[in-house]
Amino acid sequence: MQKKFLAASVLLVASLGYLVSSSLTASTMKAVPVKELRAADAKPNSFVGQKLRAVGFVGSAKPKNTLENTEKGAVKTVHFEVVEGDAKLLVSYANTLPDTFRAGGPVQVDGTYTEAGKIRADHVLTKCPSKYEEGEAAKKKEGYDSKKTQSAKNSGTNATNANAMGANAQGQSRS
Amino acid sequence: MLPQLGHWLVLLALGACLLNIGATMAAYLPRVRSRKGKWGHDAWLEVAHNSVFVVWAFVLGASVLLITAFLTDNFALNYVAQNSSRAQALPFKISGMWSGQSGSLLLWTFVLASFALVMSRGGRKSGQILTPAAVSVVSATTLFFGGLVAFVANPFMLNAQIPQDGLGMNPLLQNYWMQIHPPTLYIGYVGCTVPFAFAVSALLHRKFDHEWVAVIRRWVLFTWVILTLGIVMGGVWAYETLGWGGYWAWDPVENASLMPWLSATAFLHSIMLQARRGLLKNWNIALVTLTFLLSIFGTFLTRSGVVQSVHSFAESSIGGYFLSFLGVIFVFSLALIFWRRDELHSEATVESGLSREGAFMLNNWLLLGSTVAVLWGTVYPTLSEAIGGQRVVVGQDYFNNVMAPLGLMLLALTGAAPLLAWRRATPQSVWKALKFPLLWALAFAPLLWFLADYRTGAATSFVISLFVFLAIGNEFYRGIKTLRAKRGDGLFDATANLVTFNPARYGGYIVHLGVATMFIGITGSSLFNIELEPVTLKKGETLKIGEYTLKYDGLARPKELEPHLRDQVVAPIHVFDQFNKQLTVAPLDPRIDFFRSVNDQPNTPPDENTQQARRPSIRMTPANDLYLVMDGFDTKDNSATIKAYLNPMVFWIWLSQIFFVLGTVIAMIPAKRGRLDGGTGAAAKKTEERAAKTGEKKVEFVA
Repeated sequence: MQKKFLAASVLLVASLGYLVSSSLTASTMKAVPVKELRAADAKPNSFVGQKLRAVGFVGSAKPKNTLENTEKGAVKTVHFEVVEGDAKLLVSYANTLPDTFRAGGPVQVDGTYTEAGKIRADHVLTKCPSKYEEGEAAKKKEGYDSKKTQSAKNSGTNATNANAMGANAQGQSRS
Repeated sequence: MLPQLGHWLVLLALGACLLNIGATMAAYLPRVRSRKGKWGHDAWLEVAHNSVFVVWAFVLGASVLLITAFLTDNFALNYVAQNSSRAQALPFKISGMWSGQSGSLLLWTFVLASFALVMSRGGRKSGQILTPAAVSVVSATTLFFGGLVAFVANPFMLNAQIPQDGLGMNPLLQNYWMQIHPPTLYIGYVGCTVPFAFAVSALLHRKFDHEWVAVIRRWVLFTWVILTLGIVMGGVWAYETLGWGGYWAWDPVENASLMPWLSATAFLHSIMLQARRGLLKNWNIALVTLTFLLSIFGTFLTRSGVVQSVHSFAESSIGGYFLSFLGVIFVFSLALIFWRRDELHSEATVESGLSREGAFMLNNWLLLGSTVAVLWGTVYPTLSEAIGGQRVVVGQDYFNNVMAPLGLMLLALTGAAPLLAWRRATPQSVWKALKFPLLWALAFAPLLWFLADYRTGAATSFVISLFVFLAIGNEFYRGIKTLRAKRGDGLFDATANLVTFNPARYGGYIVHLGVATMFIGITGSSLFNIELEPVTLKKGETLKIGEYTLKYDGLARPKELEPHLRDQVVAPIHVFDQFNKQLTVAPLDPRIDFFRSVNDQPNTPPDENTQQARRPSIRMTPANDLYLVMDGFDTKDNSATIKAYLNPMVFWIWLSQIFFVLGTVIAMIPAKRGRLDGGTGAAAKKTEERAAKTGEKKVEFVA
């Protein structure tokens, strides 16, 4: 009996291993920061033509909507930039942008890197609201600078106070 | 200055935790153990027992102070200023307590302390020997979480300057599910500590008898059903408010809650083998430990930022503490199990693979395999980056591909396993038991295949679900019939008697019906969903999706805005069926909420910096959900861009929760006659022998 159980266990483990490894190869893709993505363009190991996840921050240019002709007819497509430092990536996405999509906010774009500097997105992911403070603080620090100055201009001293407090708070939560 | 007191209360609670652990240890010192009276065994246990209440009271006090700080807009506290604002509605001020890292850790500590209190009181009432040591294990865990609150993530930290107003809770979190979902999930998560604590206590006491089985089983059942509800609530919340048309995305945070659930499910099955036959003692201890480790690991994943999507989040001080804690528990429990390895031998052997025991073992393999597969997919990106330097992300396809076959096999066991005989079944007896449900399910297979649009995968899932309904339904039918014939009960009495006669068994069956119901919903909604491209509609224009025609009625605004909103734009849409009959009395209202921020003057129109949220509108029927999201609008030509989804049978997923809760509650009822069988297996043998002699259908106390 023991031998039978052992054999059955080996069989189960082996088939699970096969299932996991075959599914894994079929559904993984590289996550590439925009800087690295663009830097590789001119090199032989360029990412052009690959499915990948581009990681960066939403550019400051306002997203533009166009109607693109596809097999499905005219499809509303949104175009925006993902940046990291000086590196820029143009994204076209035939779907709705997430609510948390903000200029300067962290973003990841899954799709096909069609040509140097351009990606056709299948999914655009911004931060899910259920993350804890550190993430929030990082977001505020990295991305909301532009907004900060703008709203400070708009509504005067109050905003500056609140933001000063925000920055202050980050300092504390990190220390 | 009152809130600062909160910090002191947490520190005092830590002291009381230490007292509890120390007093329990003292009570079991060889010299004290047999001593009576002052400073004897009982006196020390009394100290331990009372200190649990002290811990609880202090943590409760700290929590109340934090909530009070939220209610009184005390922005001197950094945490309050970060997560609340003056304008924030009252319910969100309360739930502000757990909307950030440090406050949610305080809530965690409070739930732990409450569990310790319940354990200690319950244990004293029933005189359980295992309780004091188990309580001190929970105290040690409380010490860790309370320590984080006191020294690493202190919610009572003060601001250098007191701001005029707080930043407010993330508006996307301002939803009534915020009140219910996180606390529920926490209770489920934290609950994983208690069975582990009893396992440690059992190892220390060398006591794996029926008392252990009964107490641990009840705690796992409780934890398990709360965790189930918490996970599903998360799905409902995402589905109802986030507007991407789905309820599950194999996100690391979701996976983190699924993993301990899977291993707890495995435990709930394998513990029956121990209860009935004294089998798998070491395995059960390992599963309880694994469940606890996974709950802590899941917490580590969600809070450290290690697995969180974009790499820039991967900086948090708290992750290291969780990893260290994880390592300590791992080494501690491994050493403990090794130390007691001689006590953990099975009292019997599994005689045949074709038996209830065999089915349970296969069930455990599949559940554990699923856990490993989910874990692997979740940590793979982090591992690949650590090892190869290049982060490789895992798509949802991976999880779907792996979990679909494992899930279907588990589903088949849900129906088949309860019909198998214990110890040794023969092919003839198996055929006799399975004949009815199997043949009928297969008879309906062609019809289901046709209904499933000739898709084999979906049809397989439907056929197996039908098989489960027939198999379990038949068990109920036979049981009720026997009782009616024997005792002359009415239908209602017979059903009630059947269930209360053996609650563990029939409660489990009800949960199994829930599992089949859930599979139907998952299959329908994930394989037959329709997602249209966004379409811009002018007033009066229509849009077709599935059997529905949608007619857009022009933009609308509510007469009165909720206080946290700057503006709200609604796209009223009426729904017509294929015969052009209007289905909606009030139109569906996909809308965009524009949130006020802290410094808004009243009546400022939204600008591009305004935080907004698209709120979907859902028309749910058992057949399908019409799910509408407003992508955008243009006030100039009164047009709205609508994204429409048709999600079949989501209803059944939510419905299945009734079965889960009802079944689990029933399974927790003590049996009317007899009790949970001990780990010796002797009683079970006796029952079976008696059943064999008299020829009556044997009575099983466990499943």
